[in-house]
This record gives sequence, structure tokens and C-alpha cells, in this order.
Amino acid sequence: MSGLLETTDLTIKFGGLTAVDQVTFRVDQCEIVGLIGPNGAGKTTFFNLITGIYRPTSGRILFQGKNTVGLPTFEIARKGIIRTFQNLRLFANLSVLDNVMLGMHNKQRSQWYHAIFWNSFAKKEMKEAAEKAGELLSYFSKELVEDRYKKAAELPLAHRRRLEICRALASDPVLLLLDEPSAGMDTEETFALMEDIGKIQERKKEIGIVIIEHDMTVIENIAKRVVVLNYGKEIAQGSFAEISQTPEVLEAYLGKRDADAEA
Amino acid sequence: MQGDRGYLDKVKIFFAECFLLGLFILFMRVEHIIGILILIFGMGACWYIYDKLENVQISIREILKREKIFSMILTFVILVCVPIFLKDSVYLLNLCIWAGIYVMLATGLNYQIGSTNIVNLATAASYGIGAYTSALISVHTGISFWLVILIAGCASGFMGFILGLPTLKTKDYYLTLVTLAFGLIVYLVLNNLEFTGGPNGIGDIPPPTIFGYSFRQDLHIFGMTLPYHVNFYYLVLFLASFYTLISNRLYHSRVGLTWNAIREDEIAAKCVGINTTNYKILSFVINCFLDGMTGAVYAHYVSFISPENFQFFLSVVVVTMVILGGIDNVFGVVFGAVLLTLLPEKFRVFQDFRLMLYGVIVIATLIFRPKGLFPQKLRKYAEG
Amino acid sequence: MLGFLEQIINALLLGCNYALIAIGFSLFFGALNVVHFSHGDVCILGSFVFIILYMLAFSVKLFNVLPPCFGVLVLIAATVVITGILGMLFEKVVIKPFRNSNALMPLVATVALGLIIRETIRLFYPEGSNPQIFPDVLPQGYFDISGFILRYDNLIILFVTFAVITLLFFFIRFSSKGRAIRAVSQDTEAAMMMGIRLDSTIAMTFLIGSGLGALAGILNGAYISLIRFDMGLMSGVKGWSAATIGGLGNIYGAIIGGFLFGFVETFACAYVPGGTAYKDVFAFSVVIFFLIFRPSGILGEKVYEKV
Repeated sequence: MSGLLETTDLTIKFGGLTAVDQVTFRVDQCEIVGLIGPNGAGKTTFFNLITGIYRPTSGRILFQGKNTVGLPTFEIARKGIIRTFQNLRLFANLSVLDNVMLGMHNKQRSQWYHAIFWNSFAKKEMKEAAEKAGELLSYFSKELVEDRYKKAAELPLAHRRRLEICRALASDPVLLLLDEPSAGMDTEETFALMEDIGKIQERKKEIGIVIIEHDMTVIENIAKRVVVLNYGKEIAQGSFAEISQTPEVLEAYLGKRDADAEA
Repeated sequence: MQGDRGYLDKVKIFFAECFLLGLFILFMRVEHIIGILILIFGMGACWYIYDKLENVQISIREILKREKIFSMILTFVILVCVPIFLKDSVYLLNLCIWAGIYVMLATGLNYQIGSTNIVNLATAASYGIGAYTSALISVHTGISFWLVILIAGCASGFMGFILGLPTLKTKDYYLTLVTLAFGLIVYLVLNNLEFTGGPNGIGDIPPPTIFGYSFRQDLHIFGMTLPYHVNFYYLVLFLASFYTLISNRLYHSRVGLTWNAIREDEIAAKCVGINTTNYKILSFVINCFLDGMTGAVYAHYVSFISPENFQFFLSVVVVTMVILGGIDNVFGVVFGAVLLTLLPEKFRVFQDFRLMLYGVIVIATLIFRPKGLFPQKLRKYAEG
Repeated sequence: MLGFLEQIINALLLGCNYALIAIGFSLFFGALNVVHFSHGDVCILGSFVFIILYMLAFSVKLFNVLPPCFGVLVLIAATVVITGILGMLFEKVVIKPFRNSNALMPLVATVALGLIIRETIRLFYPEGSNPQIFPDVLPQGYFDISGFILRYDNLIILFVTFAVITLLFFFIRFSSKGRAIRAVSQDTEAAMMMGIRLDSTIAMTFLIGSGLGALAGILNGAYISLIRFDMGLMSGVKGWSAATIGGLGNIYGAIIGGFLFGFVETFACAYVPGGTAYKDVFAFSVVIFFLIFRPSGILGEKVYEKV
């Protein structure tokens, strides 16, 4: 299978700081790749580069074989790269259902002139989207369906994270980027999250997923391959078992003396 | 059973609306300060009760939803009948027309301040450009008003497009500054350009005509003679209803939802594939287009316009109406526009303090009740 | 040639006015990330406060006691302080409540405040809607340098402006309060964690910014001898534009922006036919150009939004 996403020597500099340093990365269809590293390693910045929020200083990004550098964020999203955010970016004052329906924005066609002059078409499309959104929510959580008319900001954290994932899925992504989805969750909620990710793969087998995580249990259980970043550079790559023994990785997380002790 | 309930609902709505009509006429007519204060206090109490009791709100909304068509038609019929009760007072008719004009301006601005969170301070400019375009065309050519109003809308709409272009690169507050500066520039240009009559403005704007009947003729109907203002009242009523309908439709469509998404979190909106720039420009163009049409109506109503009519404070007044009424809530905005047109007239003694009052209302509303008198509720969808 | 030099002086004087106002905008934006739309009106308020104090001074025969030069300085100082305090109060009422809300609220609130200030002047100052004569407090007279007239009052305005800017520079750079202001404008949270009192630092920022604005209002009044209650709107927009061109949050940028604005306006007025009426249009076109092509301004830093 062809590489879904490939970056070559991707670099971005902010003034004097090189946040992402010549990262060559690849993720394929049907794959889950873990992206780990200490805080400030450049993981979220890497996501920002892929999704077009930042423009790289140098390097290439190829999605399904085509270059995406320079494309505006919304175009990249339309191509099928969808993400979640480390600190959650829901549409807080809108309802749960609204959030998921907005995920479907690109699948809809009604414009302002439909709304004004051909209202039945606009209404029908919204109704269908609401039904599909409800169905998507029910696939993940009965509670979210019950709460679908609640304001997104009023949900507990774990539900909000789940909602963000639902919104991401509503866009029918080809590549899904999850940024620390288990942050702030307890063991039970984390377990439910891993089940959710399993459900995602069941629902759409060809989807490629890159997941940034600090919780190694999640990475261990779901990531086929793990890439480790530190100070913007890739320092290791392999299966979880392999990289958890690599001295550079231990040093990045634990510091030199402890790393030596560990090894 | 269903039929019975439907009948009961209709009766309730009928009596409620007749009561409101009576209240409205009373409010317009009362002159004595005590009477005014009693009425205001009473209305305030009703609003307070409505606001505090969720059940009341829900049941009112349910009834209106069930009998949507009936209540809309009834409201329209009642509004059509209002001039009959006011036919002896040109002053009051004029006031109603002004309320309608402000409803038109406020519903337009609501797309930007309410739905998309863009503070546009150039309402006076888009309104003025529409007025001047229509006036110039009408005075110099014989083109029918009904075409002129569309041309005026297009002219303002184009201005909105130009105004919206900087959204590509600029952040919220810069954009507001641009709209503010633009409003000032338009005023300056209108005041200095010979072509637009400079500070003397344009006069002798011909009234609209329909099938040979001029809007400046008194209306003879059902044995009554109504002053010509009634013609303009109906014109404004028709357009204001149309604007309100559009607002409602846009709100419930993908466009309204997308605007809200941009308001909530622009980056997240981009990441779900929304072309935020296009939608922001759309909000500018629609707002300004509608303002332009409103300006054309105004110009042909008063038959004389000058730059003095399109100053910055007008933009602030419309902003106040949107904020007080309820951001992003079509009903709230309509209510805010009507309230803030009629209320200051009742306190004519304090006429001088009108503008200052608007300023105080904005600040007080933002501090104590930022969502406005009638906060917007979440959308509900008809699901299978 | 002489005419050209005169225009340079005019441009510098106008630039002084805009620079002083723009500094206020940059300070406020730096401290609170807020646009203070009524700052221009506060500046004009300063001019009116000065006139009131001036008339009060006469009625208590201040100038019989103090030499006029000294008396004027006292009046200016008093105006600056009073307006500064008013500026602080305005912040408490109209900006502080919105510190944690949506950025558009303080924006609309300050627009409303500007309206209130203008209307207050118009309604409560006698004959408020008419232009008011500003007292001639600067020495009349001039140097004649081989035909080129250099007026005393213009020189004083230039001198005072540069002196004040220099003082401000030293204050911001070297005093502890100045450091606090800089810290707050860099990173509010970090500053608070270092023990800097946010409220009093912000109050100080507004005191200084509004005081400088009052000075701008006084110097402007002395220069054109006439002030009107609604001049604040235009000066505010121009000061804001100047600060934007220079780079919001950067004081040096505000100064550069102010002078740049002054030059564009003066030269458009002087050398473009029919330019006087449209000088503002030129000036704003420059602003819009900057906003589109270089929104961070001349000296501003590119800000990356944290995602």
C-alpha cells in the first residue's frame, strides 16, 4: 500500500528556535503510528505543519502522493486530514449535535441562496445531517446521544474529548491526527478511549492514524509503530518494545544519569 | 384531541397577539410620564418573568412551533392593521416607519456581530451608499424605484465585499478599526464630493410609484383616508418581514451554523474544512447589501438626504440595538430595534441625552447581561 | 524650498501629536491586549480639562501669584494628572470587567465609552457643540532665519514631545514600575507569578497612557487654537492607525508610526491637488496597505497563535 502521508526533512524555525528539525516521517493506510517525546519536543508543531496551520521553513509534505505545502488549512482538511487538539477546540457554546454536524460541513452543499430562496432543500440537508450525526454519536456513546442538545462546554472532560473525536470522524477522514486524546483522563476513561479508537478502525479500515500521547499504556496497546521526537528531531523509530529500550529515548525522558542506570 | 389542542392554541395565540397590539397602541399613544413609566415597568416585569421561568419559555416556544404558519400570518395581519389605529398621527406613523428601518439595519448587522463575531462599525456607510446611489439614480434618470433599490443594494454589497477583503489577513480588532476608518472616509467623501452635492446633499428625490400610483399620495381604502406615510409603512413592513424571514432561514441553515463555528473557534473551523475567509466576506456582503436596500427606502421616503444623516453615531446606535436585543437572536434583535426606536421618543424631554443613553446601555448590557435581553437558544433539528 | 521646510515642521508637529496618542494605544494593547477605542476622546477630554483649569486659575488669580510660565506648567501638570486618573477610572469601569471574556466586548464597550465622553462634553460644557478657543499659553513670537520662520510655540511643542518621550524611555527601561509594565505586556501570567501586581501595573499603564494623551491634547490645542468635542474620534482612529503601522505593543513603533502618519498627511495635504479634503483618505490607505501586507507593523513581532 502506498504511503498515505510522507514528510521529508520537514523543518520549521521560529526565529532562532528550530521546533521541528528535518523530520522524515511516514504513515500508511490501516496503520496506527504513535508519536511520542517529552514536552516541547515539537509533536504538536508537527501536526500544525501537516494541517497547514504553520508553513514549513523547508522540507516536503506529500499526502497521497501530492504536495500539500502552501495549501490553506481548510483545503488540507478537505483532502481528508483531520485532527483533534491537545487542549480541545470544540465549538463550546454550540450543542453536541451542532459540533458533529459541523464536522460534516464539507459533505454538505447548501449555500446562502438555497437558504433564502430554496429553503426546503437547505432544511432537508440539515435534517439529514442531524440524523447522520446522531447515528455517529450513538456508535460511540449512548450518553452523548442523550446529551446531544446540551452545550458542548457543559460536558465532562472525557465526553468532550469523545465529542471531538466524533466531530473529526464526521468529516470522513482519510488520515486522523489525535493530539493527546487521553490527557486528563483516568484509567477507566483511558480504557474507553482505546475502545473508541478500536471502533474507529472497525468503522473505516483504511484510515491512517497518528496519535500523540504521553500515556504509554495507550501507545503500547494500539500503536503498531512508534516515532520518538526530542528537540524537534527524530531520535528513534520502531515498535514500542524496541524504542522503550533505546538509550536515546530513555535519556530524553529520564535524563542521562537515570538513563544509564536503567540501561 | 389533536384538533382540539390546535384550536385551543390558535385561540391563545389570537388573544395574546391582540393583547400585544393593544399594548403597543397604548404605548404609542400615552403621553403622560406616569403612564409611560407604568407601562415600562409592566413590560419589564413581564420580561423578567419570561426570563426566569424556563417552563414558560418552553411552552411558548412549543405553541409557536406547532402553530407556526397561523401565528406568522396573524402577526402580519395585525401589523397591517396598525396604521388604522394611528391614522390621525403622522408623527406616530413616522415613528413606526423608523422602527421598521432600524429593524432592517439591525437584522443585517446581526449576521456580523451576532453570528460571526465581527464588529462592523460601518453600518452608516453601507446605509449611506445605498441611499446616495438610489438618490442619484432616481434624480438623474427615470429608472423605476423597484430596480433602483436592487442597484443600491448591489452598490453597498460591493462595498461590503471591499470591506471584507482585509479579513484574509487581519485579526478581529484590526478589522473593526478598518470598518471604523472606512465609515469615516465615506462620510468625508460624501461631504466633499461635488457629484454627491457635498454638505448640501441631494434633494427632490422622487417617491416610488407602483402601477402609476405614487407613494406620496394619501391612501383611500375601505372608506378611510390614510396619510401617504402609510404607503411607506407598508413598504417598510413588507421589507422588514422579508429581512426577518431571511435572518431566520440563514440562521437555521448551514451558513448560520458555519458563521457560529467561526465565532466560536476559527482555527477549529478551518480544521474541519470551513473556508472561513469566504464565509466572513459573505457576512459582509449580505449585511451591506441589505443595508443598501434599506438606504434606498430611506432616501425615497424622506426625499432629501445629506451626509449628516450617515454619521458614525448611527452605526453605534444599530450596534446598541443588536447587543441589547440579544446577540444572534433574530427575535431579540427585532425587539431591540423597536424598543430603542420607540423608547427614546417617549422620553423626548431627554432627547439631548439620547446618544449618551445608548452608550450607557451598551456598557451596562455588556457588563450585566452580555447575551442581551433575549439570549439565543441552541438549535434544535427535526429528526426522523 | 522655504515652503518645503515649513511642511517638514508641520509634519513633525502633526507627528508629535499622533506619536503621543499612539504611544497610549501601544501601551494599552501591550498591557491588556485590548483596543481602547476611546483613547482619542480621552485626549480631547484632556484639552477641555486644561481649558477649565485655565479659567479656574484666572478666577483664583493664580497668575498674579505665579509667573505665567510656571503657572502654565502647573496647569499642564495638573491636567495630565487629572486626565491620567480619569483614564484609570475608565479602565476600571469599561475594560476590567471584560478581562476574561471574548475580546470583542471591551472593544464595543470602549466605543460606547467614547460616545459617552463626547456627549458629556457636548452636553455639559457650555456651548459644547461649538468649537472652543484654546488659550494661547505658549509664547508667541518667532526666530527669523534668513526668511525662514521658526515659531517659538512650534519649537516648544517639538521639544516637549521629545523630552517626554525620552523620559518615558528611561522610565520604561530603568525603573521598576517600567519593568513591571514591560513584563506584563510580554507575558501577563508569568509576570503575576513573579509577584507583579497586575491591577496596579495596569492602572499605572493607563495613568501614563492617558496622561500622555492629555499632553497631546494640550499641545494640539495650543497649536491649532481651536478644539471641538468630536475631534477625539478622528484623532483616536489616527492614533490607532499610527500605532498599528508601527507595530502594536511596541512604543518605539508607535513613535515611528506617529511621525510617518504625520508626514503622509501633511505632504498629501500640501502637494496633492485637492488633497486637503482627502488627506485622511490617503492616511488611511497607508494603514490599510500595512494591515494587508504587514499586519504586525514596522517593528511588531509576528505572533504565532498557540494551537
